[in-house]
Amino acid sequence: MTIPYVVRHEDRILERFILDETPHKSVLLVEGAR
Amino acid sequence: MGKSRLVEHALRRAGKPTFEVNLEHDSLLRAELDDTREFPEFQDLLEDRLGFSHKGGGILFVDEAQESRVLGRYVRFMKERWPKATVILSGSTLTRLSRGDTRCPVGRVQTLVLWPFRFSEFLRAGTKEHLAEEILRPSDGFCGTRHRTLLSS
Repeated sequence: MTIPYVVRHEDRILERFILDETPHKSVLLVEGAR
Repeated sequence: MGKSRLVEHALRRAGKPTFEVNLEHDSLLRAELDDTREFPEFQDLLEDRLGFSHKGGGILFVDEAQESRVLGRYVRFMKERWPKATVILSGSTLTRLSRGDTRCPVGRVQTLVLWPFRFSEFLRAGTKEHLAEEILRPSDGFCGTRHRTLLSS
């Protein structure tokens, strides 16, 4: 069975971070339990 | 939990050059990384092994980053010396990045904590969109049948 991808609030945060072209931007740490 | 899937999904959508490594799977690269002594040596290793150059404005994604003993000490330099690069480090226990004599790189990192699915998200994943909407809507409660359906989801 294929589980559909559920778009979450975290997807938007990540997308904004990736598309941000600001020089010297922070390193993003993505953390969570296994 | 879905950290890797979340990041991989976002990277595919971004369409930028991406350089990925999982330090749990690639134990050879992890060992080489842990052998590096200075940041320039670390940079060279990434270029040689992954083809990643910070000058190209690509994205470096290191999954299970906590597996490395030395990666934490390079985080501050990633921000300071790689103005164009995007760096994402993922893992279950990233506090381990700042172990030993490595201090937490305050002001150089941004943290995104991924929590488990809320019940509404869980229902969506099970293609029960209408139930997800129903439980988010203010109501006086559910009828017995629907309540049982929700409990058995």
